[in-house]
Amino acid sequence: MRAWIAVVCLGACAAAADRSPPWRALTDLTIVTGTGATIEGGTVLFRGGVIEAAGEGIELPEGTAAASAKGQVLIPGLIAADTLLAAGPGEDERSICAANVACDGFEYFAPFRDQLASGTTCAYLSAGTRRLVPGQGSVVKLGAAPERAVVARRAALEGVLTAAALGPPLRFAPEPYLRPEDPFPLAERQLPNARASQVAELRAFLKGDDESAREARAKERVFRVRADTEREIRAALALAEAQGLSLVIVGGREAGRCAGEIARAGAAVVWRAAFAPGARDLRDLSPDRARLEVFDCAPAALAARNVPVAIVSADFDGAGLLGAAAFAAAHGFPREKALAAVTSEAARILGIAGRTGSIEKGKDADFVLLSALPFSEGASVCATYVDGEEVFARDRRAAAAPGGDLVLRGALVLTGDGGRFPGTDIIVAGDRITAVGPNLPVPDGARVLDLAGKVVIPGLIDLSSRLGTHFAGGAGDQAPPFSGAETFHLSVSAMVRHDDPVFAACAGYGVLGLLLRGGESALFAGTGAFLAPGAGREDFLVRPFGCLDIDVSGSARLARLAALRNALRNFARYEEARRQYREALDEFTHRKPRDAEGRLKEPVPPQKDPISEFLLQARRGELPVFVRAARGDEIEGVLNVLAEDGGFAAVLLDAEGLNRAGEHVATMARGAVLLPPYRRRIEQAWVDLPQLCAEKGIPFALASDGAAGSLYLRFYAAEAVSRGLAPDAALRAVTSVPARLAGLADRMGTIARGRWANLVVLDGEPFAPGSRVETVLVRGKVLEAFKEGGMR
Amino acid sequence: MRRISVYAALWCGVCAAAAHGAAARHVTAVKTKAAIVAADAEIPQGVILIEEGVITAVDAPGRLQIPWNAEVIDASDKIVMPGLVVAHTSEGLERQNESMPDVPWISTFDAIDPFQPYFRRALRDGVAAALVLPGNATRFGGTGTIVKPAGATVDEMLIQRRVGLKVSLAPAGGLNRMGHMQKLREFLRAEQKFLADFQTAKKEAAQAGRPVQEEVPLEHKDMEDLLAGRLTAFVYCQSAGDAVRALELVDEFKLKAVLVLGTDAWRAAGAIAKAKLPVILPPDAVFFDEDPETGEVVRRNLPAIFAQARVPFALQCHSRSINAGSLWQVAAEAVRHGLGRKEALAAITATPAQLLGLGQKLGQIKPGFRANLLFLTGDPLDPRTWVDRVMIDGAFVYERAQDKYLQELIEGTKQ
Repeated sequence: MRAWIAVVCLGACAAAADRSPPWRALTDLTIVTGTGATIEGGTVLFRGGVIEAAGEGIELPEGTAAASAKGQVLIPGLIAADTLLAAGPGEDERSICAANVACDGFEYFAPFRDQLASGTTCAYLSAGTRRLVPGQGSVVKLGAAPERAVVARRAALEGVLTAAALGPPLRFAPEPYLRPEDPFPLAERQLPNARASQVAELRAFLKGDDESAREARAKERVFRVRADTEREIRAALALAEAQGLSLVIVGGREAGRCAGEIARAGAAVVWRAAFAPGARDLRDLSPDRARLEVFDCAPAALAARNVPVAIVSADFDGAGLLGAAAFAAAHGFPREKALAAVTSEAARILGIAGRTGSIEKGKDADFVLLSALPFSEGASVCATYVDGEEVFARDRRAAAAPGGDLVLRGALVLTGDGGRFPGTDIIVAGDRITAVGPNLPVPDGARVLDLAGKVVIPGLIDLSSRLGTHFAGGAGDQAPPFSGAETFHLSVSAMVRHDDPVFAACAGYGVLGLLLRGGESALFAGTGAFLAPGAGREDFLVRPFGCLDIDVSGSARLARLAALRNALRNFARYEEARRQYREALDEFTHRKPRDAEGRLKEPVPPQKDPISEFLLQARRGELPVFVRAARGDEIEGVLNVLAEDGGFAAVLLDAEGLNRAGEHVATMARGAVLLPPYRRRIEQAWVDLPQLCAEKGIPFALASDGAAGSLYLRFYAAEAVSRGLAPDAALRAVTSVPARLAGLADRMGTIARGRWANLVVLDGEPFAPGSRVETVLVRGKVLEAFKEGGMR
Repeated sequence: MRRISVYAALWCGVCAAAAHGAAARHVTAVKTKAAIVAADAEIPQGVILIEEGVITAVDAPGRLQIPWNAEVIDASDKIVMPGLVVAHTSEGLERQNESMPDVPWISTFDAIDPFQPYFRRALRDGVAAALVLPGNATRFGGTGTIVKPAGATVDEMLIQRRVGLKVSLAPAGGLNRMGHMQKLREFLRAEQKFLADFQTAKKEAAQAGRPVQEEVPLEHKDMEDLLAGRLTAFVYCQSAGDAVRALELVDEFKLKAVLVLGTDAWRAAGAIAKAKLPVILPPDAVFFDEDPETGEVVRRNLPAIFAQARVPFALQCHSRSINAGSLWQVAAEAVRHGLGRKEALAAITATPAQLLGLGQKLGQIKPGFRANLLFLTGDPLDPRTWVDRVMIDGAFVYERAQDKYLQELIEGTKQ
């Protein structure tokens, strides 16, 4: 019997425990409470939509679902102290419609994605901007269930003293059930149509016996006045003083000019930022306005007089609050008050500080996870919680995307095009990168590589290599593997094997793109092949014809320039002939079906010319043109000929004469591929070619121009860095720039969504002496050599 | 022997009674291939007996004796189901609504045009009863009328007058939502006050012995019935926010209500389920919704959503709509994408009948119900099926073979 009772009791307890909402917690956070404190290594414990505890060293009750948010910063959900989210397109036809309540126009189930994505969880709904007394405003939470959404149904009585409220429409309100004896009513005019009547009407309303006016006089309800200019603000202050109202000024553009009076009246200000980033701003800036916006920014003056200030963005949609607060901070508003102006102070002004606005026990569990401290560079919203539920998380799509196979977690990511992102995740699906960003959600079934403290760079690209041809003729590496007109149409990739161990070694050193060069003795010296070391058989050959080489250097340079000009003119004729042929062929195929007697002759195609065919590809942008030119006059000459006679922009190879070439080289060439030695003695002076290119604004790639040398591309670049080249420029020169010059920027050379997952993991900065390659991913697969713990 | 004579006398009496009944009442027996008697019940080869336009019996052929004098309609190659019920339409009117916002005393009875093509089309699609309500561009739009889509005058068509009062929460004429809601509440409060004052005046007059005005003035009658719960409010909710406000309103004024939902209002399904109110779904009840952020396209099946939320719902159609031209089309589309067959059939027969307050007269084949029958060539949700004949109140009002207009539509007018 006793046992039975015990069982029943236990069952009842369990049932009770089931009914009470579960404990949840976020740990390892930096908490910015919104009231001035910052707590490192803090925890937020919440249950049933309410914060139960926040701070350091909090004991978690048993069964708490805790999640670590290491590195993230938790701030209170932001409060938009003035929005038109409920106003809709129409307006009430009455000039005074004080009984209207804003939340009657609110769409509880709208997604509010913009707002939640920028951290706004709570919004004051204004009743409108275009009527003298548009109604009463409400405060609602965004993304909350309707029964919890309304924080304050009648939060304030609104009045409008800006010009927008002038000229209300004619009012037509006939008795609905007309009897024959009733006269048919006419439409009535309404005030205010002039500024004078605007103030007088509002005064009369506030004095009158409307219920809402009585409540405002009894200070049960705040009176919010939309007022921007100094005159409007002074009028509002006078009205409030005369009737003894607690006043909030909304808009407050020129509030700084009467900050003293506002402070004396004990009023608060909801200040609207002048500018919203991301939107086109076509306002005319008068001299007075310019002074106001730049030097006389209201929040600074108001803060100096201790006037409570809430800040909203220029748009009325409640998004972008952190940006608006930052705008004020940039114009003299105290930085330490900036966050409060969109959280705790805003809550106080709206009269909802008991529910939200700070991270404290008993407040609603509305908060925002940022990637860094608020107002620090690059800080962004990672997730937004309302009532303890996650209502926004960045890159939900990546989370939903199936087949993310691998997550590289928490490394310093150098994107190859200048980006430098610490603590960033990379998600790889198949052979591509699908997401890059902080704190990305791990897709189902994905493997996670924890790379905290490591550095990830894109696979390096060498635009001039002879690796794998094993050509070691008597004349050394200078002689071409093959050249000449009869082999011109063959791909040099025939010289190498994909399973040659040298390519695996090359990939092991992080070089994942090679432009294998052909010959270089003739004017049209050959075509390169673009290879992917470390890739499997199918992927190894990226392009059989990776470039067209033109060589105008050497002793016969004048003759070569003339020959080049001839070839280009020849090409122009060839192109014309091809065009004519295509037209004739079109005509022929169009007419053929109706040619019963067979009188039409099929046009004859022009004879194929291999060089012109390649130039044709180059014209379509499929084949980059590389020009080997050394001296300054060569460079200029060949660029001119290519531009004038062919309309090509070429990539310069070597180009040691750049110091002598004209200034316009930077605009005529697509870029330069520099070959070692990068520092040379030219005409009795030492010239550092990478730095010269950087100075002249010519995009440059660093290449090894060697066989074994290709393996050591990173060290070539490191050497340039040691002589003063910026590490960032050096990294570009072996990743994004060569990818662009080779026409492969859509898949290699940078770390970004959609690129091939060619990634090199290092244990230090890429050009620091002694940094080691720890892992290499080629098209999403870890290179064989690194699977057993890596190279040592 | 005495006992025998008693039996004989009794027997004679029974026969006489039967003969008398047969002489007075015309019995029709319908033989079917299958009788779908309710959304979840089907009788193979069911036989339906009808007297005076009312169903008297329905059962399997072996269990039901067809009277010797019955007129037998042999539809043993047809599936027979109850006539469809339209719970909400604003078609078939001369104009959909008044442009003045608060006109609760007007009635669609005065505006129904029997010659609107809507009725012809509805009949062809198997509708046996429809509630014609004013449109949605008002606040208090007026009362509705239940009609059958057959007859040359409104009186011939009439099933019931003053059914439901249209209350619309969608602002019209450039007004914003908060003003609309406020005026709606003010109107209701003013009516409440008027009725309270009227009752007080009546009491005072009675006490003072003055002549008593028993009935409220005509223009307040409908609002009185609405506020007393004698008239159902058909509350139009354009958006999900409107649905939340409709629930507040129903709660505040203790209305008896049915929610007529707009396409977006489904998001409030959870809140509606909690309030236990029935709904009428929009004509385009199955549609594609694009996420503005991700561009992801999702198919929304509103009937399935509300079935899952256990909210009683009726379907609606609009004759100008391509996807939702008729009730069976909407129902079939919803079933095609996941709604149960039982729920779909109920949503076009029994549930709308209930919403119209005629749950014991329409929407099922049961003794005591009106003999509104559809004779279908196949399964009701099969797109290849058509309505072969429609019987309303025991008489055939539509035969496809006689549908000249349809012939013209299909074959073109003869020159």
